[in-house]
Amino acid sequence: MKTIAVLSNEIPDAWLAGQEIHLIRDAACAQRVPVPLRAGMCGYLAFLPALLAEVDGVVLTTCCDQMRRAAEWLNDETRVFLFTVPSTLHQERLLSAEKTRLSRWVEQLPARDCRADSATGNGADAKEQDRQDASSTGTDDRLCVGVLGGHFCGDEQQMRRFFEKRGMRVALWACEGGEQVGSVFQRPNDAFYDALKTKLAQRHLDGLIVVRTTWCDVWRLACVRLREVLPVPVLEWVMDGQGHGQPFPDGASVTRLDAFCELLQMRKGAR
Amino acid sequence: MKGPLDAMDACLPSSSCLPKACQGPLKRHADSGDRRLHHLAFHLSPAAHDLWNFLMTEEQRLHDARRDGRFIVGALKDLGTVPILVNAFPKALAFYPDGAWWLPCFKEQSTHLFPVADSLGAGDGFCPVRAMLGAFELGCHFPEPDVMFCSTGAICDDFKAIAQRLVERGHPVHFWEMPHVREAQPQEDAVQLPTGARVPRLLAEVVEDELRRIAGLLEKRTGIVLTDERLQAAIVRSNRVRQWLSMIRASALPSLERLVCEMMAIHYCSDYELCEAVLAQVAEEAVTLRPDERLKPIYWINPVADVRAMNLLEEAGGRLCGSDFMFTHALSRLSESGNPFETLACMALSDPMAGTIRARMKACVSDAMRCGAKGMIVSRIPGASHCAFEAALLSELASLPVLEIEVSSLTDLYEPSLMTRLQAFMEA
Repeated sequence: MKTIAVLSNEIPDAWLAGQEIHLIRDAACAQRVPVPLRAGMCGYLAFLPALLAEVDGVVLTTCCDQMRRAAEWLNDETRVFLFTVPSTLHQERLLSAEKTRLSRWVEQLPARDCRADSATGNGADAKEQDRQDASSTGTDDRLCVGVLGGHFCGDEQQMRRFFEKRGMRVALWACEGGEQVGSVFQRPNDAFYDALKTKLAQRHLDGLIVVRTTWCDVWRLACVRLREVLPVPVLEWVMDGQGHGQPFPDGASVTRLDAFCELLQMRKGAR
Repeated sequence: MKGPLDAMDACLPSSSCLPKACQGPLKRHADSGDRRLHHLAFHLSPAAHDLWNFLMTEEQRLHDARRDGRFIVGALKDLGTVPILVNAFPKALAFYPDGAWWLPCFKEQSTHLFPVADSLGAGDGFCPVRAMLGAFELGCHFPEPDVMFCSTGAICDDFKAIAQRLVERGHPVHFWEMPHVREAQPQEDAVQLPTGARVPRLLAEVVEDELRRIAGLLEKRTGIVLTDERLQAAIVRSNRVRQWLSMIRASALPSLERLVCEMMAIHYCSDYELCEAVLAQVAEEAVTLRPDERLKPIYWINPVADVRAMNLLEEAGGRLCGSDFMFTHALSRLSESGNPFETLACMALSDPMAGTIRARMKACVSDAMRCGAKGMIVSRIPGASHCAFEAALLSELASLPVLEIEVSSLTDLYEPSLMTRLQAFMEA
């Protein structure tokens, strides 16, 4: 069975249903050795060469320019597929053609004797269970946070435990590789904010953490808009420097996250 | 021969091709805020004087056009295609609000464009095109367009984010799809672009549909039907500008004026007819100029946020012999026969930024060799998402020496170190 990393929520599992593949949805940065990058490159790219060495293929999308350029930077036309995700709403023909092209690429992709990351595979099942538990809207009266944004360069389980230790729970995980909540990359992207407001209400979120790297322009400005339109506090977390060999979360991030948790608790107390 | 502003004003033409309202000493622009003019070294000639007056009066002419009831289209990001479409409509004109990225340079940051952009979330991690956001918010430079079209998809992240922010700030934008351009696979039906690349026919059809959709919106707004003949005529006019530019690019016109001329390719500085007249004058003079053999011919990649960088190149011992200012698709001749929408679609797909960096750098290397360049300079735009990848790839592909620099909106604070690098490069 081929192992393929599909690193964008814009490509749902359903598009690859019927193909015998082991699907990976994130680069598991905590487990991969990063490569040095040039100034201006998204920090997430540092983990992609190690990922590519361990899987049969990687699928990136044109949603963000950094990933579009990364597909070329990885310099392996056979094993890296760049999927053109239309930015506007009325491009069914283009989207359909791209799905066909993707299917053909998967079929023709040579299977290597790769280290299909069993740890990641097991982690994926645990993550899915955590997400289902977290998204249940039962009578749990803990404060709920949502985490969304770009690629999460840390360890999702550690992140959940971080909040649980503070008496809170992650009720929405919508970074790349998590739940899809509209598309921040579409133009215009009003539907993304509408979908998020709905999710906020459904999951009773008390706060939102937006994850990005330094050069993530789209999420950087989306964060500004989120603060304008959402009725809950929004924390912007720039995740540079996280990942393999780094303490997670790092000291500065812990300080900010703790302050955010205190803010949410104060707001709850004030209600 | 080059000189400062007062020497340039001594070259004020006795018979200018510009209307009276656009004529006069350039010093008047400097006095009313375009302070960078005091720090530039100009090519001293009447034709160049008209060129600069034409550039510096664009804002005024846009306001005059608004007063005269002309239909003003804001074209964003595509750098060359939509204005040709707009020029096919009588009494309509197009301009690029993106051009506001030069305002912090010309005003020497005495505008509030960057602070306003900061306040809207577009801080200095974004490229200087964030000045456009500030310009729209303040409403104090160009008039609000009657309609705006912005390409999206295979564009830089800065612009994608800033264009969305414009919408959020109450400036409606019609987005149109610019798909990522890739080589056609063997089993795909393909078209050949003016660049020689074979791309999937589907991409050309997608872009053609988008351009027809834009044309439909313009027809609705202007009440004028766009025929193929009208569009063909606009393409023919565009080719005349491209012809003059071709002569200028092959000439020894100094680097700063050459940059300004090339920038006119994308939207004719909001007046097609004047643009042709100005460039014709410049071209007629430029072909008589001899290159300064003491200056090393350099191929330059990416536009500069501070136009003074072109002076610095020459002060360091180099001169532009060729360039890719990110819109080479606006420079080459368009087909004047066949389906004009398909012609424009293929033009749009030839945008060097819509495809791979490798394809762009290969084209630059080929162009540099053709121009007789002795070196290539990649000028990074601060915050731009594509720049991080360019120089490394170019160094792999080029047999010429490659220098990577970064040019912000004002180079004054680090001019000594920039000059050191440029001079060392020229000496090497």
